[in-house]
This record gives sequence, structure tokens and C-alpha cells, in this order.
Amino acid sequence: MIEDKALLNEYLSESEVLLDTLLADLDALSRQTSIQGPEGRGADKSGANLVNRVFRSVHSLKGLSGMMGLIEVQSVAHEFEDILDEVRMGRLVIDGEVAAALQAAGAALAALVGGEASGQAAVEDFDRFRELLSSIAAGRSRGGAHARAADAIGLSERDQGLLTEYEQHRINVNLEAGRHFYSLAVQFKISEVESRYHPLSAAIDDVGELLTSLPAATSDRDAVSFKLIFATPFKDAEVRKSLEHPGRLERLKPSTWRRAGKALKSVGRIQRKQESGPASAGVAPPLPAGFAQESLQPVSRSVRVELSQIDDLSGLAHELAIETQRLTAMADRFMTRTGCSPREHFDLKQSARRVEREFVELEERLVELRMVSLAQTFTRAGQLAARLARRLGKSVSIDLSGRTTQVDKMIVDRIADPVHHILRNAIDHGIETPAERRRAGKPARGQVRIEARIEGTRAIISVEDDGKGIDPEQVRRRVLEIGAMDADDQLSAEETLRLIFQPGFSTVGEVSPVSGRGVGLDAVEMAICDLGGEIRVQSEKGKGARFELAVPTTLQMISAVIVRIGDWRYAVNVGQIVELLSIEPSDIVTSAGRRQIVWRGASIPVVHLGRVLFPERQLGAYREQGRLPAFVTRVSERPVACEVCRFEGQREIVVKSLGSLGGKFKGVVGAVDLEGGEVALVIDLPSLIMRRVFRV
Amino acid sequence: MARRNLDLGGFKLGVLHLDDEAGGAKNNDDLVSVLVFNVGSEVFAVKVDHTEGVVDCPGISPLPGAPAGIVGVTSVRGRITIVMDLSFGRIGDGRRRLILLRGEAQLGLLAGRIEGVVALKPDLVTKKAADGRRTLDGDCCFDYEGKQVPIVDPEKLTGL
Repeated sequence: MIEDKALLNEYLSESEVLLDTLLADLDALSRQTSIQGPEGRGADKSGANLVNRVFRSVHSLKGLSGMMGLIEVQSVAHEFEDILDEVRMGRLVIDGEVAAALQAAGAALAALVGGEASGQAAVEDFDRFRELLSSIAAGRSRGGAHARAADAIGLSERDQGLLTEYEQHRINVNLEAGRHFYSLAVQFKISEVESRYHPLSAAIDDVGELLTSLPAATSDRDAVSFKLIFATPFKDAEVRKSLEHPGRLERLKPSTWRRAGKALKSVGRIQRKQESGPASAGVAPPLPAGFAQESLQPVSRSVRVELSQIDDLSGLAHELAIETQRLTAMADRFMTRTGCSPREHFDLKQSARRVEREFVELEERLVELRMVSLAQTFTRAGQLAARLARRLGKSVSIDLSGRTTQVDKMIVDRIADPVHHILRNAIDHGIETPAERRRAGKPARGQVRIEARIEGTRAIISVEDDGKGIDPEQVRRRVLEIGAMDADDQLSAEETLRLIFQPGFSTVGEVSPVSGRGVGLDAVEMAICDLGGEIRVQSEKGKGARFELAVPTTLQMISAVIVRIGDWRYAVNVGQIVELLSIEPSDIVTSAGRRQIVWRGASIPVVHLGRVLFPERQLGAYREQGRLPAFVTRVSERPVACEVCRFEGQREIVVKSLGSLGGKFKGVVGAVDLEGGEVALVIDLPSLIMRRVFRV
Repeated sequence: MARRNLDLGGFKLGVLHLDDEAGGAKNNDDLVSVLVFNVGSEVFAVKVDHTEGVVDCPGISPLPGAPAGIVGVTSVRGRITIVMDLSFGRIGDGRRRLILLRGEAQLGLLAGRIEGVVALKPDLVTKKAADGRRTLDGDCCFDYEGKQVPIVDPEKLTGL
């Protein structure tokens, strides 16, 4: 049973999607079987695809249930998976009765999922489900040679060795159906594989069935080559016309097929029709009364909504709020001109304010819809850590805290990889082996703690271990080796630790099978900065390390300071502003080409935000008279003063996405509509300054 | 030549049928409709199916670090739109339209004058000859009033 309500809802919601797909596909399979018959379904590519989809749904459900600790569901799903694998491999033919039994099994699994999650499924229910599966499995054919069909189409020994059992089976099926076989040799630049492979495999799917993609040698280091082997009912001319591709298309040994077909028949092809006869009588006993009852009632009480739909609604609410402001201003002017009474004026303003407040509240509620808990991420992290520790022969206890912390779904998705990376490093490089720990006077069992909490508008996710910590001397040596600092640079302990985020940094001499070379913390930092967050590290040699990811709880609605730079306005997250300043121009000192001021007793750099945004423009274009408005922000914990032209107030804003290309504009997290139709970019200060000022 | 009316998100246009036969009824399903527009002195086209509408271009806020061809962002009907200038700055002053493209990239093409919609038989669309110029448009073009007019490919635009 899942006791955590939020976790239960998430499980039910996700499993409902999988079960809906599973049941729909089993239904389609049953209909297909009744039209084509069992033999027809095997040769039909769409039937094979359906079976594969059913298999994948059950496999995913198995994984999801295991992750949630529903071991019994995981176990029966695994058994169901085995049955489906027999179907995929052609060892169990689906006739009408088997199809019906599979549908019953799907429905029963759905009932078990809901029952077990809420603690209502009984042991007997699982036992009955297993009986149902056993009866389906009884129809499975046993023994019989699985001829090497790959021989028959002329694949080399090497290529044959690369085929999976399932691919061999599909070659067999297509041979029996009398299809033609082709090999298409292609080569793509590595950067183009994703964009070119999928359209090509879709084109092949249009003319036949793509059986396998086999790697091929190439002398071009920037390219990959492979052979796409496919079967098609079409003739040569049609295939060549349909597949207009620069690759080399070759028909595979046609004369051998007929020999292979005869050979397959002669070695005693499994005559499934005869064998399945007696077994099918025992298939699909009716579900007994009281068995975790099937129901049309959905298991989940939630509705899945696309994030984009919520964004659209937020946008609408925001537009309505802005239009309300405009209408109010117009009505105000109208009433003044027509000489309405003060009472009518007052009533109008009150109504308008109320409507505006309600639209703002609607926006806030819609933003809240995007919030999800970190529970799933934490559960996966805990399981990953346990798996890693076992694999590395380390003893680790994992402590999770703050699973119910709510964060925007997009942020949860984007911090998953950074947390994974840090956790992997903690287990691989941080926690010592039991023997090492005993020698160091520590308990043999290491500790890793993953915690989440809210601080203001930020979520703080920390990964802490009690391992060997980060050795500052080793860090310093490594950084000198890669040339990222000079030998006489004097750095504080904190600054030295931050060097681990340098690109190309690693203190690990060997490649570890778990966390590679230990590189990638620069990518982790970049990923967090892109979200408008930051990553902090603390460590003591011999005692352990702590990584903290501070990320906004939502990217949608933030409190922002609006600033003016020249003709344009920009929005800066209040969370990124330490202090607002008003600088006397004479307080700015230029030293070694860098402008600086004294802030809280220390010299800090000063940059003009206009120059950071558009370095090609002249500073004079932004210069205004008198004291200079500025604010202090932190860039990797280093304070930096940012000069602007004018502050234009603070307000709650809804950040709108820049679309799928938004990620290409570094330092810009979105945009906001302001009054008058102007669009203000929402900028991510630390990321922008880091890229433009400190890492040029 | 037959003319029909087309409503592009509120922007109404007549459709000109271009084919190699004069008059006669045409099966509209076979035809490719393209919106022809000027950007400075250059003429481009984009498939009508790739567009969501044409609007008067609102104010544009510049995007820092944007590649050549990206003018900035604007807001249309509440949606942030990235504005592209296919002429790389040669569009000139004067009234400007924005052709809104479908898709998650939220792109809009800056245009001077909208010439109209042309319905083409597919075999009138040909591959462009490579001329070494850097362009953001696609690989296809068609002959329009004696000029080779490139047909913009939104997929290629997103690869900037």
C-alpha cells in the first residue's frame, strides 16, 4: 500500500495512462486476431507492433510499481511480461481464446493495481491472477528448433551474432510470408543522426518492416555508419522509388529464401495450430466472484493536463487582468467627461479592482497547478543510490527528507539529472569502502542524506554524504594541471572548492564505470543556472561533502523588479537581488580595466547591465545624469553590482515561455507583457553575467 | 484565373491559382497554397498550412545574443513570438506585418508587403539552385512573375 497521499495520486495517475494504453491495445489485438486469424497476425507488422506496445506497457507498469514498493504488483506484472514475450517470439500464438484471456488479464491487472495501491487487494487476488496467467501459458508451444533465419537472407556471421532473438523471429516471420529483404547502408554525421535516422526509419516503415539496424565500420571519426535491414512485400522498383536516399540499397540473396523456407519447413516447423488445440481448451477460466473486481471506474481521480494548456490558461488570465486595467482607465475617463457622481465613480473602481484581483488570483491558482512534489524524484534517487552502492561494494544508508516539497513540474524534470549526477559522485567518489571507513574510525556504513526544503521563493535540494570529502590540495593541483589558474593565485578555501565546477576538471585518475571520469559538474552548474538557480558546495576533507541546489519553486509567477536599460525594460527576479543601490559616479574606481565599488567593506565589480545584454553597444548610450541606480547580485556566491538606467518598481509577473527555441537564448528565461503592449525580457542575472563577464 | 478568398487568422486575402493551363476547374486538394510576401526588395513565400495568421507587427524588444536574422520578441494575442527578418536587416522602414508560424518555436516572419496567396500545382515547386548565400529559407522555390521565389521552410528556421 502507498501511504503517502501525494505519491499514491501520482502512482495512480501514471499507472492509469499505462493501463488505458494496455487495455486499448489488447482490445485492438483481439479484433485483429478475429479478422486475420492467428497466422495472419504474426506476419502482419501492425500486429507485431501491437504486441510490442502491450509488452512495453506491462514492462513500464512493472517498473513503476517496483519503484513505489508494490512488490506483488511488480511480481505479477513480470509474469505477465513473460507471457507476452512468448507471444512476441512466436512461441505462443494468439487465437480468439488467448486474445480474450489476455484482455481479461489486462483488466485484472488494472484491478490489482488500484487495489494494492490503496491496500485493498488480498493475497488470494494475486493467486487467482497467477492462475489466469498459467492457463494462458499452457497454450505455449514447447521445444522445436528455431532455425537460423538470418542465414537464409545472407547476413554475415558477424551480423548474425548481433541479432536479438526477437529480430531473428521477425526475420523468420517475414520469410514465411514470402517477403523480400533489403539492406540499406547509410552514414550520418554524428550531429545529424537524430534528425536523419527517424525520417529514414519512418520511410522504411511505409514500405515494410524495419528488422534491425546493424553497426558498420567507418573511417570518418565524425560519422556513424550502419545497415538497416528490412523486409517488404513490394517489388524492387517500387522500393527504390519510395526510398530516395543516398545510402547503398542492396537486395539480400533472393534465391536463398526459397531454400530457407523449405529448410525451415523440413526441420519440423512448429505446427502451432495442432499444438494449440488441446491447450486452448484450458485457457481463460472465468474470473471468480470476489476477485479484485473489474470495473469501468477509473483508478485515478485526477485528470492529466498538458503543461501547455495550463500555460495557455495562465496567459489568458493575465491578458484579462491587463484588459481590465485598460477598461478601468477608459471608464474612468468616460465617467469624468460625462460628469458621473463620486459614488458611481467609486463603485466602478471598486468593481474593477475586484475583477483584477480575481484574475490575478486565477493566475496564481493556475501556476499552482503546475506544482508537483519531489516524491518521485526522491524515491528514484534513493533506489539509484542503493543500486550504485551495491554495485560498488559499498554499504550506504540513504536518508530522504522533504519529499512532499512542491516545485514546478518543469523544474522537477530539469533538476533530476543534476541530482542524479551529484548522487552518483557522492557514492562513487565520496563514500569509502567499509574497510577504508573502519580504518578512518568511521562506521562501516556510510550515510547519504537527500533533503528538500523551501526558503522563500526557492527550493533548496541538498545531497550530503559523510565520505572522504573534497581535498582542496588535490583540487588545486588538478586545476593547475588543466591550466585554469596560475600557481601564484591566492584563493580562499571557498574559492578553491568552487574550482570543481571548471570545465574539464576531474581529480579522478581512472574512468569509473559508474560516474565516468567525474567530469560534468560544470554542466550541472550550467543546468541549474539556466533555471535561475545556483549550486553551492561545502566540504571538509575526511568528513564529507554537501551540495546544495537552490532553484526557484516556479518559473511561472515570480516577484520581479522592472528595470529600464535605454529604450527597453527588463524584469529581474527579486530572489536574485541582494540589495538596491544608488551609486555616486565618483565612487566607481577603475582598476586593471575593471570598474569596482566598495560594498559592505569589500571591493566588488560593477557592470552595466546594458553592456552585459548588448556588449556591442556603447556605454554612453545608457549613461544618465546624477546618481546611478544599481543592485547587487550574487554570481556563484561572488557579489557583483549591476548598474541600470532606472528602476520602475516591483511587481508579480507571469513569465511566458519563448517557445521551443527559448533555450538557445542564454540568460533569458522568458518574457512578460507589460502595459502598453511592451514586452520585457525576464533575465537570469547570474547566468548572464557568468557567461558575458566571467567566462568570456 | 480562378480567385478564391482565404482568411489567415483575420487577414483576408484572395487566392491566385497558378498552373500551366488557363481556366478550368481545379481539385483544390492537389494544390499547394503559399503566401507570398516582400521583405525589403526580396520576395519570399511560405506554405499557408505553416501559418497561423498575419498581423500588423507590434513593437519588438531586442533579444541579447540573438543570431543574425532574429530581430527580437513581441507579443501577439498573449503569446510571445520570436521575430525573424529574412532579409537580415534590409527590410527598411515603413509599415510592417508579422506572419505568425505554427509550431512550438513561436516564430513570426517580418514582412513588408503581403503580395497574396498563390495556389500551385506541386510540380511547379522546384529545388533551389545553390548560390552560396547564407539563407534562412528552405530548399524549394517556384516561379512567380519571372522571379524564383524561395519557399520558407519553418523546420530550417528552427535550426539557427
